[in-house]
Amino acid sequence: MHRNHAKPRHGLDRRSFIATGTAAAAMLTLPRSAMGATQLSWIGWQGYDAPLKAGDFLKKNDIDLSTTYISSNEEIITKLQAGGAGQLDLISIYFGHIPILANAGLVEPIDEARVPGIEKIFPEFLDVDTIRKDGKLYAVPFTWGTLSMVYDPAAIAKPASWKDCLKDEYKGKVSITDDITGLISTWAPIVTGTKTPTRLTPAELKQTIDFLIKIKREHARTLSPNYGEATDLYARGEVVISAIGWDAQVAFAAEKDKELAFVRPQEGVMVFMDTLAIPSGAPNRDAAYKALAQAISAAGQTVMASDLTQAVVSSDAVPLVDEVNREVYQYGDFESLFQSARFNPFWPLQDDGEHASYDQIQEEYQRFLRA
Amino acid sequence: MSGARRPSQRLRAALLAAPAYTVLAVLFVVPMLLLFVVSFWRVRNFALTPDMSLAAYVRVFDTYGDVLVSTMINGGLTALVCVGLGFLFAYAARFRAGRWGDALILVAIVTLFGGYLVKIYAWKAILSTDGFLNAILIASGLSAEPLDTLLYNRGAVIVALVHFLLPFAILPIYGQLRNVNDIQIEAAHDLGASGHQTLMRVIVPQCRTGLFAAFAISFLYAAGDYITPRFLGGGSGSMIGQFIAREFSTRFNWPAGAAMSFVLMAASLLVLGLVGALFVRRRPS
Repeated sequence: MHRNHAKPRHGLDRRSFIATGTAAAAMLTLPRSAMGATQLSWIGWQGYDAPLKAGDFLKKNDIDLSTTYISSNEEIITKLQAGGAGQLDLISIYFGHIPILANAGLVEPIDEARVPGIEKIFPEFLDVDTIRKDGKLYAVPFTWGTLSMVYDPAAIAKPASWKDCLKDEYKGKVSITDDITGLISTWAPIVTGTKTPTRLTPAELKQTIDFLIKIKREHARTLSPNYGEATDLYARGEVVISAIGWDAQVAFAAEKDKELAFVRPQEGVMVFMDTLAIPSGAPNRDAAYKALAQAISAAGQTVMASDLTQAVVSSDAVPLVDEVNREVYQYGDFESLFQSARFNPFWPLQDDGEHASYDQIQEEYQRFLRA
Repeated sequence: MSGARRPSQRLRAALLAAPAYTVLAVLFVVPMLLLFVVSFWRVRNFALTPDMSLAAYVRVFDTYGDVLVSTMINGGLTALVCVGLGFLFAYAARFRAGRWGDALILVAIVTLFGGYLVKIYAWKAILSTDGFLNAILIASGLSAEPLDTLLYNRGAVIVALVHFLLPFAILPIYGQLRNVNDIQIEAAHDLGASGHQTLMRVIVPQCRTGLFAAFAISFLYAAGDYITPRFLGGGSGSMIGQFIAREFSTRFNWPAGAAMSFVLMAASLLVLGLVGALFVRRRPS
């Protein structure tokens, strides 16, 4: 009798193979939590997960971080509306979208007692009405910055005005990025003279969009789908100045060995604030609160400042960030900073009969995209 | 006797086909029906409201009519180039490459490896102002300075789509050319037909179905694409897929996105119907 016929050469008979396969399949289909680590589902901008990945936070808390990156804030709303609530644990979103989420019951109130360090957040950001409803806090400020003018210092002198990007010498070398709030907030004051660019009449909105179309057609190299793509254009030498930019592009470009700089032109820039919120029915709420605390901790905030050139929200982090960051964001004198860097309210969610609503803004912005 | 067995045979055939029909119904028909119903609803403040409104369809033509036409043009041009190049390649593989014919087809299939986004970024690197093509143009003296007109337009979108879709066009054409009988070609030559006459009156009529399949695959894919125009298209290369994706993902305007999808589908079927009438319905003379 040949032993090889009695037993397969690889030493695994059919029954053992099925048993092993079934066990392996069962292991793969088990929830991660059953295998030890708690899975934390996080969604937000690429890079905003850096504070969670820094140090030994994930290991120490036995958290398996699952990240989804977005290309627009509205994607988060859509994802939550389309069944994402109950699956996601933590979202990072622009503060202006919080009322939409809170009114639709898609995010839950924050239990401030479970967020150590929240008292260290600058009141200029924590006390903003937009992130509160009926006295409850629905989102925790996480980071902020300015949508400044980004330029290539090796190619051009430091610009002083947004209108510098319209000079003939820069035709075809202007970077413009698909950012609805950034573009309209930056250019509406220049085009219409408004002081509050998120409160535009339909006529002012049309005037602003017409002007943006002119920039896109006559001055821009192309409309970049995101700031990462826009940074690539600088790295390849295709653009030298921007009609809208983001401070973090300087850090993105440094990774590509390209030196960029940003400036706040005399007409002012838009301040943005991104927040962290917990979706209703978050399956791993405890882990979400731990992550939230980590993100606003001095250590987490310092990572945001060093990795993304962003501003910190916690006073504890200020001594830890570098001198350049402190100088740019003027942490001790927000009153003075906010004179040139506008912290606008969000667009009206409902039609008030005078100002363009968020829906009208989006509809008109489509015209800019199609042009 | 045989008549008595027919119902049981039919039942058996139906049972055998049931899983396939079930998969088709669950994964295709039901979602499409649901989406069709949603296209008549309304949305307000990111919330869907059941309705029976044609507003989303009216908006497609009012707002996106020009983009729809541009999409049909881009899809049509891409498909025509794919069919033309695909036929040349398949013809060479079938009639000119001898025993290397199958190897040529294998090479065409291998170009599918590497992914779709990689091809987009490759064309970005080739067509940008500091790209490969500009370097050649300057080195050869054909251009004094880098051309910025190679990228971010309709042409760049079509080039990248053709690069990706060409293998899909080659395969059905080659399959049909394999069925062309060599004896018929020799007979045509013996009867005095020129090379051109043999091609147009013997070979092409026999691979009309393959040509149409190549056109349909290339056209449908190109017309529905939204990634390539987003990264390479700029203003003139915009396509309706970009706006459908935006309506669904950014605005949560599912009725608009659904209506745009069905209009795109109808327009694509119309184009394919017209092309099909040209390619397939005419029988070989």
